Amino acid sequence: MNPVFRGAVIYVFLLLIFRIMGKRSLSETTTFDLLVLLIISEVTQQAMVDTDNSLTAAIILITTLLSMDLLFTLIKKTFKMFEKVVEGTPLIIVDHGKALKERMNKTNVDEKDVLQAARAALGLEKLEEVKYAVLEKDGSISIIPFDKK
Amino acid sequence: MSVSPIKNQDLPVEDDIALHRKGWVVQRIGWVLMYVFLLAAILGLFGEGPLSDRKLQHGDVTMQFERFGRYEHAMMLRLQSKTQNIATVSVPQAYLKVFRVSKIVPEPQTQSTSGGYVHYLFSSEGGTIINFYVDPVQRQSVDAVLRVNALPFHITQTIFP
Repeated sequence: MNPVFRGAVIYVFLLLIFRIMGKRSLSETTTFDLLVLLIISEVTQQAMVDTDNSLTAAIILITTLLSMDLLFTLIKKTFKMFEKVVEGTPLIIVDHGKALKERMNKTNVDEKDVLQAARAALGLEKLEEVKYAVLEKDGSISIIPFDKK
Repeated sequence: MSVSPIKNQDLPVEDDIALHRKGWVVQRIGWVLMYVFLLAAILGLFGEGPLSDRKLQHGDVTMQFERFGRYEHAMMLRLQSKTQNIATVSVPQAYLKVFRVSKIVPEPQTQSTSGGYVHYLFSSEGGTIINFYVDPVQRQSVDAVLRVNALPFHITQTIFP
């Protein structure tokens, strides 16, 4: 198969499957998550390169992937809804110290994940110290603390 | 369990809950499709499983092959006869455009072509089991009639990319 099609198909497939898996699949939260991502990258590489180890194929594939990325960036700029659908939007999961359970259940995030992010970013100890926790588009959790006056 | 928008939110974040709700439905459907796809793969829809295994019989000659395969992934065609030796196997040249024969066990004595077929002739002591090891080199379906001791075997195979 032409390396351009191979690269394009793999790019679109990965985009779709990670979107289906959910935001948290992209963030390396545990050793196992990291392992899965590493194995996926190895499988992807084999699928894209196949038996063609030529320099030309490598250049074609790299150009294809970057072109796909650029094309999607341009489409996202033009069509805001496309960006929202493909990349998602941030989601507030803690509101004024209160965990929004339904939202956390839907996104497979639990309080431990939020507290971990709060400790790592700001050294916060309790959920009550968190004004907002936002599940970002890339699967990370941003913490906004209460103003200390 | 409905998910509500946040009231009096003072954080300038586009918390589009309506879009999230739709996304979660699509996501759940995607998960189901993923597992259905995996189950189909385990069962052999893309090769190597019960959905793919095929056995054809003419008299006491049987042909075992896989209905589904994957590009450049080795496959095997097994020909077996209970009572008689398999003397000739004729494979259409159109079939050989899709499959590359990498090995035949036991090896044929001679090969010849005529009438759009490649004829493999085996010795009289060739035995009652012959294995053709083939590699798909085209991503397409093939519909062909192979002949074993002049008996026709109509096989259909689909090769996935």
